Amino acid sequence: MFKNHIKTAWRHIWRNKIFTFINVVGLSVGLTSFLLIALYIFDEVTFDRFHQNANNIYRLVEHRTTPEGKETKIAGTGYQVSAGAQANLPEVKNAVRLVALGRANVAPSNSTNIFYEDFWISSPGFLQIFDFKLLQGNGQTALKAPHSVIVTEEMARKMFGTTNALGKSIKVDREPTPFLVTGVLKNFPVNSQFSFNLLFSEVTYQDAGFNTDWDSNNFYTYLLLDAKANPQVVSGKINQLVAANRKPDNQDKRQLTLQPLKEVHFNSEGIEGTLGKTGSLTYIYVFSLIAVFVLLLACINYTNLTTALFSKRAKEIGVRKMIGASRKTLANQFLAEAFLTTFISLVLALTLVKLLLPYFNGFTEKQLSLGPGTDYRIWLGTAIIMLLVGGLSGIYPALFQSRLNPLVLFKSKIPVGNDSISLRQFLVVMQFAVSIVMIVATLVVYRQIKYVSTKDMGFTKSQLLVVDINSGKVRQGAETIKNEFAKIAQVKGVTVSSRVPGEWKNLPKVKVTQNNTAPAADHEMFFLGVDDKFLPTYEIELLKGRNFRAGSLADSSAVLLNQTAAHELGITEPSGQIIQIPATNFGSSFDPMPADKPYRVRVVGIVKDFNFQSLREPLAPMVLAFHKNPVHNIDYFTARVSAANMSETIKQMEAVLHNIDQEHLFEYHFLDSQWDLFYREDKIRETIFLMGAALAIFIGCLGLFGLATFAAEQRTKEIGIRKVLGASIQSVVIMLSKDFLKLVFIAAIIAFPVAWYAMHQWLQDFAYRINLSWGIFALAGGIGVLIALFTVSFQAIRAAVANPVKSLRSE
Amino acid sequence: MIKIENLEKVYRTEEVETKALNKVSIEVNEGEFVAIMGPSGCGKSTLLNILGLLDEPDGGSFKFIGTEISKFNERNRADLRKKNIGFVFQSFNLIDELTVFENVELPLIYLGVSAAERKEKVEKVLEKMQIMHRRNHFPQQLSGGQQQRVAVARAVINNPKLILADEPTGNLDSTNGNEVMELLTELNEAGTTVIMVTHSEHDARYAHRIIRLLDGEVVMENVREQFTV
Repeated sequence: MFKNHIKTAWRHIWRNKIFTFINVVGLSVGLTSFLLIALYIFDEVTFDRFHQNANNIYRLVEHRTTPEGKETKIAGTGYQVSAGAQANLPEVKNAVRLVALGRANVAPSNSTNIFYEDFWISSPGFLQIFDFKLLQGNGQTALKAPHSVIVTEEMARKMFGTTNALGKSIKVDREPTPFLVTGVLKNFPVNSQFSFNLLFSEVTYQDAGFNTDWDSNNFYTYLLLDAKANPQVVSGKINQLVAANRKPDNQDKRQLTLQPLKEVHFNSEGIEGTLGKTGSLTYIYVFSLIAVFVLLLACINYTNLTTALFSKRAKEIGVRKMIGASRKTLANQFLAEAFLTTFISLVLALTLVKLLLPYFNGFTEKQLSLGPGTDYRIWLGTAIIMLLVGGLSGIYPALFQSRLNPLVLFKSKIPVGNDSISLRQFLVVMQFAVSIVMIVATLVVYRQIKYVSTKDMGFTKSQLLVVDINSGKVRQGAETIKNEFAKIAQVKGVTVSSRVPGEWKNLPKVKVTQNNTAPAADHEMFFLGVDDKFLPTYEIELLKGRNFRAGSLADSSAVLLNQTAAHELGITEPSGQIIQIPATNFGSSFDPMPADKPYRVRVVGIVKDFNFQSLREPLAPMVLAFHKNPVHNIDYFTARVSAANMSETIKQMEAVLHNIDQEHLFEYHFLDSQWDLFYREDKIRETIFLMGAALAIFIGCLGLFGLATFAAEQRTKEIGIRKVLGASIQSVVIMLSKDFLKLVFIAAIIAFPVAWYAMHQWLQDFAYRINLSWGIFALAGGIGVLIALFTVSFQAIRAAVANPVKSLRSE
Repeated sequence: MIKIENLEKVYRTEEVETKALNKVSIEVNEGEFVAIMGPSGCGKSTLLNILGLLDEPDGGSFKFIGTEISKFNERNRADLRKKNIGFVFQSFNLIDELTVFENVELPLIYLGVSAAERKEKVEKVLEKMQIMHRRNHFPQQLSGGQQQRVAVARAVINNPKLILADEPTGNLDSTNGNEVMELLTELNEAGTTVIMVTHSEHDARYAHRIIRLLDGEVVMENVREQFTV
């Protein structure tokens, strides 16, 4: 019996190629998107969970509240917090501290290949608490001795040309003694928050004042608790311990909490300094919803198409019933067909997933794979999904069609209640509503991104090459380097500055007070140290007053303000007004100027506002000080270069820099591509919407196609009679298509307010945004109508050109 | 074998009530060959459907091999049907996706007969119907006459007590039509009861008895000796 089911199913599938094709494509696409999303979600929800101790590892987070009530959360504590906790609390089994002491030039001891790398140091607990695999070396001892370092296999390959690096030595520019490689680490999995290349032993810097550090937020701290310990009780004890040791003079209210390691990935919003990529549970929910939705629609379409095709099979079913097939047998036969179709689709989907994974990985920045090595849960899930999809798709035909009386079947008069039509219509309306929302979203995101990347920003961001200042030598030789850069034919202008507009590192803030106001009425403003060439190089307009003067010593106490800053301070004409900068903020909090002595400056000019942050942010006040200032050193050269012969220009600039400092890498960026990074998430969003729209449209069309086929079949006789009575092909096509266009219009009416609301909310994120014009909606609706028309007309034309004699005879 | 008394069947739409069968009483004995004739709409197909246990009567009594079955449910009727009745149709009603062999085999599969036994039985009946050489062909590859022979083979594969034929020659030319009628006669002579609905006086002559229907009522019954042209 089973063999017979499969045989019949196979022949049936083969005989109805178009329908099979549509069904298989629909299900394959559904399964493919489902599998890709499932892989992504699986990777996300297993983030940081592969450690054996994952359930008992906690990260210390400090909650700070300033006397003014401003709250911050920081993923870092002082050195002694973890050391003290480990020494005093029996619940704390182990602890690990990590800190990046800036960046350093590192090189194999016997080589001149220098790498500019983050300089991470850590306590030995790192390899004991976490389950990172050492390819070489002993995890228990690797970070115990001073001047030891572990490297990742990738870094080992880069530095030594082999992963066989144990026992080799590495020199670091800040340290006379070379470091010994005591471990080679398998590359970090992508779903781990850690991702550095080198990890130096903390004990090397034992005398760096850590012993008294209860206050800083410098050390990322992770504790391994006893499985029976209550983390809340432990954090209470830690807070007591800290309170007993901290200096009492700090005014902020500070509280330490233990955050489970497993929650770091998804619950770190608003926590400063979180390592690694954070995930969004919202995205996970949305993606899960999309995956289930797409798959469900594919199943519904299968059912739709199968029942639409049913009238063609009625006779066969009738014969089967007449010669003795029971309802159960027939139901099994339909299920066999559904399972066979699903199986074919699954094979196709797995192939598609294989083909798409490299692109999907590029897009999601993950390293997902599907193969024999994939987690068994993924395969188990896939098998369950196949059974579910097969069951879901086949259940309706199995229950409904097997129930019919053979006599009814013989006459090919399938009872089609109004219910089934309206259910189908409802589904098509929903599918198209989703499609139209997605089309609107795609259009809006596309236009907004185009808008922010072409908007007038108050300076010209194209053709600006930014070169990092990575060493004291270069900083001291800045004037010389600037002059040499300027001599290069392709370089139109050079400037030095502490930061650049669109800064990817932290942009410092300062407090600004005016002489005649109370200290409380201070203003927070961004701070930039620049030279006299900054305005011309960036093409920023000077509105009033004067620019800095080259080489002027007096200008060290002069500043320019942007319009917003001038407005805040009530300065309309720059005339040497004195303002003071009493405090600076390079991270989480304001610190007073050295010796509590405010930096006093005169306002000499006002520049036109320019955007120095993502266009999500509104214009903010900014103080532009001379590059020789006590707040912030210069960190970058910016050269305006002409587009021609770029690689040659870069080579020449590199040579200039290396004349001053051979040891340091020449690091450069194009400013406009840095700016594009601000909108990378949005680009990803655009792609997601675009794919979502394509998918929704595709599936919607399948549904519509099924509905059109169904309707055409149902109305065969009517069409025949109309044609015999003289109806033209055209009028029949219009008659059949009209009904479906109505559905698309209804879908549009549902979709527009939803799309408007969603996109309006999204645009609120941007200080600079496009208008949601009616044109976008008209275009999206138009696309929906066109696609629907195309889909429906195929069946409508087929029905319309059919010989009326034939269609009448079928009655 | 079959005894129906005062059988009634009414089709209702919202406004019209049509009596397809009005107090029909017929008796068919085992081994008989009966033809049912009458103009279109006289109720002969309705009658055949009820006899074939495909449709339920609205009134009257229906005894099939001594059992009253007018109140049987669908499942019981299906069970009785697959064990006792074979069908032959005007339009053959073969399943396009199955070969000749598989079409004939199907009733045996539904009866749960083993594969070896099925093979033996099917081959035997295909030999008998002289269609063995076409066993692996699909229905569309056969002529009408061949298709009807396959249909007859399928109808008799499980040795039914009763064969119901609905215009079995309606789609055939006279040569093929005669062949099929000969086949039915042979089956009847071998002991199978045959009830056939037909428009053709020629075909009806093969029967022992003709029952004529008009407007849902039996208007005449002739035995063979009384046939008039």
